[in-house]
Amino acid sequence: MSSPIITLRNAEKYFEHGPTKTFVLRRINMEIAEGEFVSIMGPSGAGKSTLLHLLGMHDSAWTGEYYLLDHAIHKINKKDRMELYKKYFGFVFQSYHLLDSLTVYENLDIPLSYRNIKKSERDSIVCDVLDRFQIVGKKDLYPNQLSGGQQQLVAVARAIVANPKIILADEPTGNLHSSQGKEIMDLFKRLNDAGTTIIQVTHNEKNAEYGHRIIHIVDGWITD
Amino acid sequence: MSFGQDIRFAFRTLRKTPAFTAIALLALALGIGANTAIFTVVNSVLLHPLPFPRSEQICEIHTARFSRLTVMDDRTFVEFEKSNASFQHVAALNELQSNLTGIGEPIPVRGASVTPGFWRVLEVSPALGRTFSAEDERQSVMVISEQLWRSHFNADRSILGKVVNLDATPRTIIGVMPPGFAFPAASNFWAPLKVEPQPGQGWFYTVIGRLKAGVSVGQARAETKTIAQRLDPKNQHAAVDAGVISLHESLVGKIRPSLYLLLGAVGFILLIACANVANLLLARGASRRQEVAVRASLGASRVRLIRQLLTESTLLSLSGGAFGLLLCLWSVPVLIRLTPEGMIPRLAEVRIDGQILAFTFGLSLATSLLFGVAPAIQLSKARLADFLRQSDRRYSGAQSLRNILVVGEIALSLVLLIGAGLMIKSFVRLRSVNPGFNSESALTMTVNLPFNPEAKTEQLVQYHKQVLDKLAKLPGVTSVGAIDWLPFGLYLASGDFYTEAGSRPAAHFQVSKPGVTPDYFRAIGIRLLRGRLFNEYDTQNSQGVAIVSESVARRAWGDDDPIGKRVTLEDHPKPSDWLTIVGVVDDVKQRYLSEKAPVPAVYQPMTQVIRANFLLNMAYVVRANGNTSALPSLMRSRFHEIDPNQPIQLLSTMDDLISATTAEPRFYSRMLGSFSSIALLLASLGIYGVMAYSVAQRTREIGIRVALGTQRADIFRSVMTRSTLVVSSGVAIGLAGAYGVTRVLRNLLFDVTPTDAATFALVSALLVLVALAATYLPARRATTVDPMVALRYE
Repeated sequence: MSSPIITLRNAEKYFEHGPTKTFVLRRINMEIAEGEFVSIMGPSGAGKSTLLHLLGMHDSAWTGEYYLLDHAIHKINKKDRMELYKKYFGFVFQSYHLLDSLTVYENLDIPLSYRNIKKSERDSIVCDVLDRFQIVGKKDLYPNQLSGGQQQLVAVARAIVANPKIILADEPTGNLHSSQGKEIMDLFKRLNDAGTTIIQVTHNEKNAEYGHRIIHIVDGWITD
Repeated sequence: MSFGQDIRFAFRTLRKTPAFTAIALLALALGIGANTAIFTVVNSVLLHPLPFPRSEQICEIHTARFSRLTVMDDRTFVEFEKSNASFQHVAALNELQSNLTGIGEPIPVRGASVTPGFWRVLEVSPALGRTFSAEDERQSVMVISEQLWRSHFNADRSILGKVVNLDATPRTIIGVMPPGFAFPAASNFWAPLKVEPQPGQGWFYTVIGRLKAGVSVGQARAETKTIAQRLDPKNQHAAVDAGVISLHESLVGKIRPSLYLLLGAVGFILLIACANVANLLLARGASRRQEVAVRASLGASRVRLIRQLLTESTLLSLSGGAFGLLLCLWSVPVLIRLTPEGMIPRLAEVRIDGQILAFTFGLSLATSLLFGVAPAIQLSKARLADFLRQSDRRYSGAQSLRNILVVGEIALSLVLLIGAGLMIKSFVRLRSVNPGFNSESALTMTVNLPFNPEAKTEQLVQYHKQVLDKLAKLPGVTSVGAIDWLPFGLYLASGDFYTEAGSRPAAHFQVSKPGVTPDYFRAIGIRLLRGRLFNEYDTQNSQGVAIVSESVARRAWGDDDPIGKRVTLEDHPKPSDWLTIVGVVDDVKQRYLSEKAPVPAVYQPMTQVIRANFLLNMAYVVRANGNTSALPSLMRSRFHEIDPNQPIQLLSTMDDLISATTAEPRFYSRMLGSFSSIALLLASLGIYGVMAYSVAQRTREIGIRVALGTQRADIFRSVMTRSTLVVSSGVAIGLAGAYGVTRVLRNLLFDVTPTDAATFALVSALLVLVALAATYLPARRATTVDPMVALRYE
């Protein structure tokens, strides 16, 4: 493994209820190396997804230090965070969250369009990804015309289409039956082998084992 | 992402929710369409320059005022034309209602006699032939409009030189004006006018002029005042009454406040429509939070999200604008048809042109911002972490904004409704005014016989008697009569009268002086209060007699019996000019039902009218039993049996004649009534939407409450209470707004104050009822929530 791509120091998140604070994450210290595949596990309400969204910069209401390579995320403004997010991250959801009104092709195109990439270049990238994921035949279909597994496949394709260094996946197989889940996990494995850092939240022990290591969280604390 | 993609996605999103799209389009089409329609009229009437070269130089010049009429007398005009330094050219004109004969069926035509300067002032050339010059002033020539040329001369290019009879005078047609030229006031012909002041006589004219280059209206006005004062040094008001205003202002100035009033009313509708669509967007936003949050997680910046959402609202708005334009294309002709004749000048010039298209486009864009920005900003706040943490049913941030929008809708609707309520109450009061005669089952036919200096009273009386004899024989006719100055008719002459004591009853107590046939009072249904009516023994050779209306009797003789008293209508009466009063009849309204006091009248038998020319204009009045629908055509044909070349100026029921005088208030009542109905519909849709959405959001809460034992009646009451709070806030703000705004209606109201408490209360109650009715369905739905189903969502 190489130098850390993500470093968290004393990261905390809490909600204030009058004079009392309810902590969701406590003194999180962690390093994730570039090219690593990390699984985060823990019981419901432990703070797994909160940690994932903190890493994905969807949440800015936390304290502590967060370094993404040389970027001190805790010090930079929202706009710059968004730029870094667009440059480094792809996100996969449990419920796929494809955009219903867009075709498969357009769902893949949209992250690129948000990155102001030229149309011709986008077309080339999307075609390449469709080909890599073997979903060329489905490019004109809408999400509701696909099975759950196919939708998650498209969701993963969408997550990597902008060539991110890191994929954050929040229970990516949670809504899939086992064979579809395995396909997705194998896909993550291949992506990781190709150099993409992957951080997944999962309840599934078997899927967690795809990672190089597992981080356990209980009541907002990292326990190992 | 390109705009093209944004538009494509927006289109697809709208297509996915057809109910939302249809309702939003309807609201926008109504709002934008109504605004475009009224703006089309405002643009053509108020904003377009007059259709003459450098029309801003053309002014109306006056040195005297009669009520709203601004004119110049003949002597002043002659001097003014010679001595003024401000105008290149000036012209006097006199509007005419004439009879055109010699081209088949006689037709009444509107036109004007104008001095030759008229053509130089307007700088308009004929399409065919020539106009007249100073050399033609005494010639019997005329220029006709293109419309008349087409309608009655088959667009005959060899018409020049053709002789027709205008008011029985042969005139040679020397020119045809270009299409659209109809100044002044829908004129179809123009004849030369020679202004020649005569001792002992005075004529007043409308005067127009073209300013010299570099001379302002203000400078011309100052000079006109100076000239007026110089010509009439004893008149303290000479300079005050004199004035110069642009011709455009002179034509449209009076209608401007009314048109802006209508524009304001449709502006309210657009605001209400915007609030409605914004509300719909906010409601739909709840179901789109996921999509927006996902887009944000895919890298969309907030600006990009807002741009995408605004693209949707712009597409919606432009589509609404397109439908609005169609609505405008349909409604403008309807609006013109509904507009009482002569109420709005330049209506013939109303066009839907490039400016209107640009206006609709601009309005649609502005509208999209108005209704789209708040929901877009609200929705763009959706963040993935928040969305994933919460159920999307809790989108409460927008609820308060939605409530505010509905409060605004209700307030705006109430202002419009109260305005309409005031106009309708005013109109009802106006129509309930007793005109002083029985208009039911009475018809009138008016003729304007050609001017004839040789006319004798007895000849004209004989002519009219012949007509009346014919009319009396028509089926169902019970009485016929005739009068020269018919109430609610086309003409009216009034003046002083003197009692035998040799004094006028009051300095400004003027009376109308109609000449009537004996049966006129029975035919029109004016009650005899005292004495007798005229009869066949009241002839030219018998003692002069008069019947006075009640107000004349009261004013001149108080409680004394006027019967047998004598009056004269002449300033310098001969013994034979004294008339003995033989009867007293009810007062009648002469011109408008809204007249503060009836016009007092001193009636003379037609046979005793001294000035025979007063009998040229005559209204025959027919009272009939049963169905009168066939009578007008019978009256026309019987009349033409006697005089086939004489056009009929007016043939109408008396009810219609009165109705025509209330056309303006009826028009405003209709317009504001229609606009406020649309507003009420939109507002009730708005409140329904908000309450239905609120109930849907509270399904889980309601389920828990029911599971815990809350009575369904309490649930119902709770929903109704929420609605009542929103509605009452809107009503409170609306009442305050209406209190301030309805003052602009003051000049349009009759016998109703702009802050009439009863109207305010009644209309508010109506709005509350409608709003609560709109809440009823969601409230009922809330009481049917099944706790098992509601809680299963969790």
